[in-house]
Amino acid sequence: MEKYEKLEKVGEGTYGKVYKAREKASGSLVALKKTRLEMDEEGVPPTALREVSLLQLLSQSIYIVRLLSVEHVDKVPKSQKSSSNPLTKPILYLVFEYLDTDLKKFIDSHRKGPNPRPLPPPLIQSFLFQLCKGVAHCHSHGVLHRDLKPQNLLLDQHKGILKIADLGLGRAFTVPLKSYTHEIVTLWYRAPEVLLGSTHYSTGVDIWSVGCIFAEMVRRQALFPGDSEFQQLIHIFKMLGTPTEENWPGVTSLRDWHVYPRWEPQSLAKNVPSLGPDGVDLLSKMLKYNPSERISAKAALDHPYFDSLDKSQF
Amino acid sequence: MPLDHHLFLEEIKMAHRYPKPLLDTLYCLKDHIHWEEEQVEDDEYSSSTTTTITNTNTDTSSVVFLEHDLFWDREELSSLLAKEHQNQLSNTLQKNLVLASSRQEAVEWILKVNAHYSFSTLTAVLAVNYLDRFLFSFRFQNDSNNNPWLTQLAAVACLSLAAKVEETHVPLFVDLQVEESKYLFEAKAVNRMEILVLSALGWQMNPVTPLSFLDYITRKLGLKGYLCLEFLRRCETVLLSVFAGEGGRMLQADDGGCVWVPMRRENDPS
Repeated sequence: MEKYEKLEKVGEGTYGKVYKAREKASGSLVALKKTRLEMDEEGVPPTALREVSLLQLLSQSIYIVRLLSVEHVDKVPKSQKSSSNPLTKPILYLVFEYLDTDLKKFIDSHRKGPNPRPLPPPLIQSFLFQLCKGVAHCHSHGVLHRDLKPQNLLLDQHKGILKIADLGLGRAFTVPLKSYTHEIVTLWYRAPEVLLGSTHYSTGVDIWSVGCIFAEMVRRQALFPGDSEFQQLIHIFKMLGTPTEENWPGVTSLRDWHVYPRWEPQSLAKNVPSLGPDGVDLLSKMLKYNPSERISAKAALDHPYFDSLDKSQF
Repeated sequence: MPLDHHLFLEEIKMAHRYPKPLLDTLYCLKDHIHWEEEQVEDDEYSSSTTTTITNTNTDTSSVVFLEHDLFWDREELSSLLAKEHQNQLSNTLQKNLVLASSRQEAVEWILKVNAHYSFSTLTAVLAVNYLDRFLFSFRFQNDSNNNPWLTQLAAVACLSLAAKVEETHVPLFVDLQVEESKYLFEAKAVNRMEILVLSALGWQMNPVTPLSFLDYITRKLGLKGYLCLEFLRRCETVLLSVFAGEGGRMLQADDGGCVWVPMRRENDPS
């Protein structure tokens, strides 16, 4: 780690602190994600292991943050530096390319502060296109991200570039789908099939998150801001209507299904008032209840909403 | 319309890369009723087979098999083949009988623990893949001649790493060492070995495996529901047999009435 000079702490990932740093030799900026390996009974955390491995699988895409190297360091605590036989604490650093902000900070800067203003529609279009490109790349390589949210989408503001980060909850998937962990995806961006206890989920969980992020860029506030799993479902059902066996076959058999009040769907357009009809259509396809009807990331790239976008730049 | 001969031949080449027991499984595609009548042999691996059957029966009704999961891309098979690397360990093992013996013990241990915890077949495949790649790394080969326990320690680390990649619940290091072995390693040693394995393998822990091709074949054939699960279960059983170095021991697909069903592909108009 002598190669890098830490500049400041800039955040927390799924499993560790993140620092802005400079590589001494080249002067270029990097992000260092740090994780302690001191859980002797458990060894390397699955989150770190999956992130590194999956990032190497996905490294060809410019829409996924680039992992530059993995550094394993045995740190000697200060209190033992004079000891002849110090007990070292192993630390793992993941070295990433540095991007200056994330989508959450970017949206917040347009919502509060001295100059509140909407995100320009062409910029929303561009960011969403890059997000779909990145997600399509993950899915075509058999990887679910499972924690897509604005905080995990890094931005280069000046170049207008968006990159997917934090694959700590990501995993490779195969067919047929097997039983997966239940508590994945931050609550506000969690798909209804996960909230209702399905452990056989697939790429649709990431698409649902993309839909929530799309709406949030337009509204500058979260679409479904629940503070518990139950409240999260209520938020969704009140806006999209309570799901039925007609619009989502099998829903009443899911493990955590209960009897819910029968809400009628609200107009989606009313909740994203500045979004045009093509955008509303794409959003509605991302927020289908039935996962098998949800649009894929690859298909989304061909949706008319992106027709006015100059795609040659991507 | 001419068949896409290039990719078709690639598929044939792929099929021939695997030993006959795998082909025998493919022979039985049209005779799946026979599979249901099979008897499970009462041998040391029967618990694994039984567990797999139970899991399959439990999962069948609840698996949601989405249409777009059946989607396959023309380039996908080429991509898998390009990512695959030849396993060069077999040459090394022929010259190093001590290493071959300790590897065999390590693989058997991995399979037993895998069955004990009802881990998936993919977990076992990954663990053996990591072990073989690690044994092949030059830094390790010299050491293992003098210290056979290093291979067993590597096996514990590799199974732990595979479980972390693939399973939702991972036992602690001590709990992982449930099957009889000459050695019992403390957590700190396994911890260090995990880091060593990860460094040696360049942290590439999602390799192309035989199951990647099974995944492709299943989607290509469009198998759904029970037939899909049965096909995969058969193939996974074959793979575990091959890994155990006792090809055919767990295999029950020797029905002479089976016929070869060549894999056919849609005509490509382009």
